[in-house]
Amino acid sequence: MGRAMLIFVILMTTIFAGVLINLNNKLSEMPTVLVRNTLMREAENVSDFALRNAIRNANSAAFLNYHLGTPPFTDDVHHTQVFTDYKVGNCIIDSLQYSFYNDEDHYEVGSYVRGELQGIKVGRSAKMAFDYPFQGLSSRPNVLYLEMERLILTGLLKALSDFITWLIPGAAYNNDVTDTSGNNHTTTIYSEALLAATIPWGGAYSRYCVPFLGGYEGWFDLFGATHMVVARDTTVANPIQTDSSFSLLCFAKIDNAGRPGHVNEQGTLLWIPSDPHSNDLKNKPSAAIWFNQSDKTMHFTVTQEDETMLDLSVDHDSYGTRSNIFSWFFSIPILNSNLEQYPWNSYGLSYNNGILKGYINGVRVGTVTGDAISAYHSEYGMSLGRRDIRTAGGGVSKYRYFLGLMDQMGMHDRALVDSEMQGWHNGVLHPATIMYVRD
Amino acid sequence: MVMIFTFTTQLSETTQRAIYTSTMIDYMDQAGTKINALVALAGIGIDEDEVVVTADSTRLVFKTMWSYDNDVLTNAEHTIDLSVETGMSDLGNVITIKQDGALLSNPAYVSYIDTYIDSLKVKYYGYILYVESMKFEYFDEDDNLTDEEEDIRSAGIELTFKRDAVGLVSRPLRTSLYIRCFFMNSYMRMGV
Repeated sequence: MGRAMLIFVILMTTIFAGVLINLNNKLSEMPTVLVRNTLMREAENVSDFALRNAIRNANSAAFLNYHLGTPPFTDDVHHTQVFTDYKVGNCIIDSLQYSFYNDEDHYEVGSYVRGELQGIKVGRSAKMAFDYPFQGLSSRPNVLYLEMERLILTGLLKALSDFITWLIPGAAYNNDVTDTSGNNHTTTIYSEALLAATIPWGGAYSRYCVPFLGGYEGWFDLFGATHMVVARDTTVANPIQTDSSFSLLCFAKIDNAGRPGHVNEQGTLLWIPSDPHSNDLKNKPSAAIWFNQSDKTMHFTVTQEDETMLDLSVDHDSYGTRSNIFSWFFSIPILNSNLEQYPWNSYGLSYNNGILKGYINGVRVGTVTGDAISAYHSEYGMSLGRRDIRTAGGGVSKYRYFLGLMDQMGMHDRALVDSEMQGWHNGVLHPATIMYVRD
Repeated sequence: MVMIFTFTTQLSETTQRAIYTSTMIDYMDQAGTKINALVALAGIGIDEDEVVVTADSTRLVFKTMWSYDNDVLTNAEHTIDLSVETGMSDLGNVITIKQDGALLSNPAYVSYIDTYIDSLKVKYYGYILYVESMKFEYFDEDDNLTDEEEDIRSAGIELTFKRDAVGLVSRPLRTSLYIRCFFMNSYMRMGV
């Protein structure tokens, strides 16, 4: 009896111990749940703290002056504050991000926080924006976008700036034409023309544009007539290339009167040459938007890979009798009062596997259909303000310089649909702003 | 002997229920956080009186310019549909989240949510499991109950989760949570 009782007690004790061990193992999970919940609450609070700091910094003149320069900003400005060991409790603030669109009143901030406690990790991000334009968030041409939001010095002013830089190293003026598509294409302005004008039109956020003084042998053309060249760069993520699908875009004010002595030479806006060395192809661009002064027609042109040129021509005389933007004092162009009265017009071209569409002010003005093939593959970048023709002879008139103003020049790597063209036009002229919080 | 057996069994069951309750509370808390984060997107870029499309007692559909599926702000309006679907999972009813009529499909985004809420494990994209019911009520800017979509500025969401504990199938655990989600973006626009 005693032996049986002993065995029974040992058996029961073993079972009981097994149950307790099992329960102990499961109960040990309880702190994990508590730790995670605690950490999540803490991360939430630290995230609010970090976002509050970001907003406060974005509204601090001292902070902006130190990190971003004195407002108003030129370009779309981004800044990231990275912290190495900014601990708050069990959380770490990794970084705060700031994006400003042209001035200090239009901004978006973001905070990135992570926390760790007893092997449990959580992460948290939050964002807040105040009057930040959609144009700055998306729908930006993804191959090339020259928004001209920075004052560019050219000609004598650039020479003067270079001289000052030579005298005072470190005083260099940033004279780059910024490609805000993200590809950072290199752009060169060939001009002895005016400095790029400070024109407060062309959209609520556009302060600058490029005056193109078309023609030749002018007083300002000591080193060549005004035009810009965007070099083709195959190393960028999205190079300029004319294939089966793409779009070209720009805003412009066209001087309808033309340059004295060169009236009928107007005017090339955007020109991607097919082969500028070929007599057969020099006037057949892979893609181009250009204006014909003599008959007041706008042209949207694509040359296909079989060298067939599709050309959409539409009447375009938007300024009527108010024709000239530049007045001329001998050969010196002077911007006149018409400039303020003339509205900006937008011009767009889309090509999708044989279908060419032209747009003026966001509205489709025509469609030309060719064979369902690719456009002529170009390897010469883009020329703005004149045709890229490299054959001998033909005089300067072959370049068909542009006379007027251009802004917001861009290229997409796909064919925008009608609503996107309209959206881009409206977005530039009247950028919709947004305020939002996401935490 | 009977007493020891009874005591052991009772201890085991009680402890298991406590463990399962705590894990359910944890899961529920994370699910609530996820839903709160989702509803917080309501009205981004949308006029405040056009945010809510459908406001039923079991379903909420709202508009936002934020793409929940891609976790990015866009130029286009999206509709987010939050509702309970029955019979879609072995693990109880599920909360489905649809964007523009389609169930969420971006695994990168779901994995981001996993990181964001840490150990939230969802088997199906956009789903929250173990749900028995989800009930909505709506409030205007002054916190009065309302059924008028254009007046809604916050939503009260009562979530009830049900889960069978191991060995206790006949006695499922139920836990409830009430969260109040404010449409902060609508309030921001109202202040303009």
